Amino acid sequence: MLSEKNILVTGSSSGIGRQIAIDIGLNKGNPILTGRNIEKLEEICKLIIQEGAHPVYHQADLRNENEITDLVMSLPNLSGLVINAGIIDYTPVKFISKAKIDDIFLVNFTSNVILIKKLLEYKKINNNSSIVFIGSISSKLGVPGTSLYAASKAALTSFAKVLAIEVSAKKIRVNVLSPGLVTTDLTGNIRDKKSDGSEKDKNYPLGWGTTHNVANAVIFLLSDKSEWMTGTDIVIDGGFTLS
Amino acid sequence: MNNISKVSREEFLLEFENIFDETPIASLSLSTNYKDLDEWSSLIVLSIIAHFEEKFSIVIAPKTIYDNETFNELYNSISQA
Repeated sequence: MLSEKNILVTGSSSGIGRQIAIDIGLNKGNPILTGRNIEKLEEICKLIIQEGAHPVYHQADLRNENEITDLVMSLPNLSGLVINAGIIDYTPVKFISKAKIDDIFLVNFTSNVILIKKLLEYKKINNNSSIVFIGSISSKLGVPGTSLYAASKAALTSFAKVLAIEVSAKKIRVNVLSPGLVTTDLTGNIRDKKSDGSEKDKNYPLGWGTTHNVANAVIFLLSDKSEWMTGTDIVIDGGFTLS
Repeated sequence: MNNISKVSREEFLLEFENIFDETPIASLSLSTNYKDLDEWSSLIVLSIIAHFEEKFSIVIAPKTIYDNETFNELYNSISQA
C-alpha cells in the first residue's frame, strides 16, 4: 500500500508511533523514525529490517528548534508524515501552572507546527503526499484533569484543518485521527491497568483500543486508498462516543 | 526517603486544605477515611497527585491513593515510597 514511500513518524520510539512505524514497514513503505530514545529507535529499526523494509532513524528532541532544523535538513523528500509526538497530562485546572501550560503545548502543539513549517519551507514534502495528525477524542469531551492535553490536541486539530486548505493546491492531504483510550505506556501509568489490550472498560463497547487499531487507520490515511480525503477528523474509539 | 518524610503527619494533613474545596480542614483527622467524604471523586485523586508533585516533587501513583483509606495510611505509603 505504501510502496517505497518515505514517511516520517514523530514520537516513534514507543506506543502508537512505534506501531505506526512498524506497520509502514510491513506495508512496503520506508519509515523514518524520530524520537528522543535512541536505544528504542534502534531496536524498532531492527524489527522493521527483519520484515524486509528499509527504516532509518534520526534522534531528535523536537522541543529544541535547532534539532528540528537538523532533522529537516537530514531528511529525504517525504511522501508521508505522521505527527504523533505528544504527552498526556492530568492536571486539574486549579493546579495548572504557566510552566505546565508551556510544557504541554511545546510538545503537543508548538514543536509539531514548527516541524511542518520547516518541512514546507525546505520543500521536503512531495506533492500528493499525506499528512496524518494523531489527535484525541479528549479534545471533544470533558474528562476531568485533561484540560491542557485536550486543548493542545484541539489546537492541533484546528491547525490541521487550515493546513489542509493551504497545501491542497499541491494535492497534499491532511487528516486527523482522534483515538479513544489506547493501551500504551503513556496511558498505563495513570489508569493502573494492564497495557495488554485485554482490559474492557464498560464505556467502550468494543473494549479499549490497541496501537494496532490506530496504526491500521493511519496506514489507510497514508495510502492512496484515501486519495479523496482531506481536512477530516476521524474518531476511532471502539464506540466510546456512541453514548 | 522523600520530601514527605520530612513533614509531620499533622502538616501532611494540612496539605489537603488546598485539595478539598467543600470539606473544612478542621473536620478532617488522620483517621478520616477520605474515600467516604462527600467531595471524594476522581478529580480529587488527580488533585492530590498534582499538588504533591508540584509542592514536594513526588509522583504518587493513583493506585496508592485508591488502595489506602485514611490520611494516616496514605502518609505511611507515601513517606515510605
